[in-house]
Amino acid sequence: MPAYSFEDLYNKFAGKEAAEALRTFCISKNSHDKILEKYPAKLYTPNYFIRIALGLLTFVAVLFSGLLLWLLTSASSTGSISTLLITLAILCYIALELLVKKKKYYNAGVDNVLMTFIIIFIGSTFAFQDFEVSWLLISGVIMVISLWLATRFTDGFMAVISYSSLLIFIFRLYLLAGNIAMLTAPFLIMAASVFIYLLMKKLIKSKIFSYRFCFKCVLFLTLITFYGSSNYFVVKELSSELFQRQISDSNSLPLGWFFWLMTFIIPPAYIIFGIIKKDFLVMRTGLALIAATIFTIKYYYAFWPIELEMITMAIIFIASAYLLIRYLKDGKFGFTSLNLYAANNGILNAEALIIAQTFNEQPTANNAGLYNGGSGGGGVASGDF
Amino acid sequence: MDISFFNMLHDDNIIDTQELTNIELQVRKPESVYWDLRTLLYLGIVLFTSAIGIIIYKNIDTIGHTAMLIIIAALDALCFYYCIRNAKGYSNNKVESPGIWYDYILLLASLLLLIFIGYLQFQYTFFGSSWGLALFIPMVILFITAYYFDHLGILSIAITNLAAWAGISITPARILKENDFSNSQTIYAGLATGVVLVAVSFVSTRKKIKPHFAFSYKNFGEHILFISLIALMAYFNNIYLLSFLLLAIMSFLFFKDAIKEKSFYFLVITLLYAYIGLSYAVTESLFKFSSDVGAFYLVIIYFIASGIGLIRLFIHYNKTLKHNASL
Repeated sequence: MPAYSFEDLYNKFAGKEAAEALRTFCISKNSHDKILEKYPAKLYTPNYFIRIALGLLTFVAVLFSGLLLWLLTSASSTGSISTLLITLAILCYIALELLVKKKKYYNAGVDNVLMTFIIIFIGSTFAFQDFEVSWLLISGVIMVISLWLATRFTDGFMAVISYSSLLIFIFRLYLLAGNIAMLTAPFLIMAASVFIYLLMKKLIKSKIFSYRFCFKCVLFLTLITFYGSSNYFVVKELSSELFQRQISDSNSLPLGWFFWLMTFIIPPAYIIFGIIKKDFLVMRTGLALIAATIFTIKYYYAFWPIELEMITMAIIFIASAYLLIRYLKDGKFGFTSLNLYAANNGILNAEALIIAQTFNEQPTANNAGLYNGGSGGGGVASGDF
Repeated sequence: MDISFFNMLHDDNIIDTQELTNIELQVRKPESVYWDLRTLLYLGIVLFTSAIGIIIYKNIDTIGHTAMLIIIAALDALCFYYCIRNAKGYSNNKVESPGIWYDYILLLASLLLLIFIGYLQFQYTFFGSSWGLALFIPMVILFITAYYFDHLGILSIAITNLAAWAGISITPARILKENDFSNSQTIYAGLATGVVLVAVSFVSTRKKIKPHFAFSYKNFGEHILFISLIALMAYFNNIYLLSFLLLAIMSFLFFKDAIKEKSFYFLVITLLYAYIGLSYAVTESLFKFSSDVGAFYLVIIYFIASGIGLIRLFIHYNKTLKHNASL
């Protein structure tokens, strides 16, 4: 079913493994070249920056092709616009198949953007109807198409879209059950997330190596959706938004205590689970979700003035980093704080750029922002913090 | 890494026993949380310096200024003292950092210094009414700090300060948002800053004075230079072809340099900026020539054809640069 042959995908996998072994100084350059000789890479995946450029230019070419076709057909009624959008989606798909077959594009930027356009064109078709199209139908169609694209072109982003559509689909389907469904919908999403997580875990360990990246993308999203469906803020706000249920502080969310508990428990649970299993994806997701938990608490309760809370957090962060740097120096529990490989210049330059972006809040000579109050950013006075 | 795959390679005599052992050891090696800890420290410092900024801003009229300044200065001196004690000394070459902790203490010291000078200027007008001087002094200190302690992050802050001193903003998120490119002053400041930064980058590499700093100078310089050149085309609309010629010459020079340096990044940004300039010149010319629907169709066809053409060009240069390419 994939558009690529098993041999091409296997060679791609072999190339990646060889590159990783060379990067970590496990094998010599000579052995690396011998591996590439035995498993020659036939799929075309250019450099990361070239991929972005190819993606941008494909975006320009497809956008203007669509515009040209629209002008030539003078489509104005909903029917003709829908036909035009579906035609464009089909044309994108044909171009994608041809490029993959003839040029062997694989995550080359062009193919990724063409796939995205297929989904956008199909999705937009529903927006141009005179009648209201149900979310059940939209999510169902998008789910099937993106699943096909993910399977055929082994694309991680399409796998993510497919999983997201699946969640919307089962959520909408479940709501047809009536009032009880409204109350229990978060549990359904939790259950679905757990089920898909376990499935992805199993599939990652299986021999289907060509889809490993797709499985990892979906697995990451299951961690987010599981947390999202049990986060107090998300459940409460979505309930009032979707079901027009006015939930005030006095009329709190049914089983609110449970969602608060989950909001607190899940991020540290992810971190602990990630450390035990040495699973960086789970551990880092847990770390990032701590920010979501803090936001949730802050949204409903304000304990201290913001600056005191920030200083407290800063002290916790800096102190824990300091202690961990010292504690893990010689390696403990399979972790080390040392940089095992010299960071490449790209990472260091990117870090410098982030630092400049975050701490740059300097006034220009013409506009003395800092001294007039300024805004945001670390290190300086702030007007709209 | 997939051990079974490497076992198979070993059986086929593609890798030797030592290499297989290396891989087995690698898989069992402790995982490095180096970048996670760096992120944690970075977040801590963002929060800390932002909180101090907020405290000053909220209490500017009520706080004991002298006390506040003394606290900031003492903290700053403590941080600098730690860094000076642990520094390896100046070298024209890259000096490896003694550790993560050191890097971020130095960053904190530099940021506290900025806060201190800003506070001093706001409260006591220490540098008089000359805002330029109030920007120039911290900028110089930041450059000295970046060079002495060999810190890319502080160098980037110093470069953005240099641009601010010249009257423009050059960080990625603000370069378009905060600069008024409909103002000729901003365009000239952008052109001058760009030329200076690119020249410093060139000298750094040529004279081997911290050559690893060259990327930061060139990156900021090239972006602001190209954006200013495109703005120049729009500003002097009646002579846009002349500005375009200037843009084309600069693009050609940067293009040659990117090929020579085997840099995908600079190749991509140079060609994309050149493409934006060319597209502006083409659309402007077509609409000046004719304003009917025919010109509109031609513009659309131009974008389709040029998009596809540039894709082919990128694919060609990807192959050319593939071997031993840098960033």
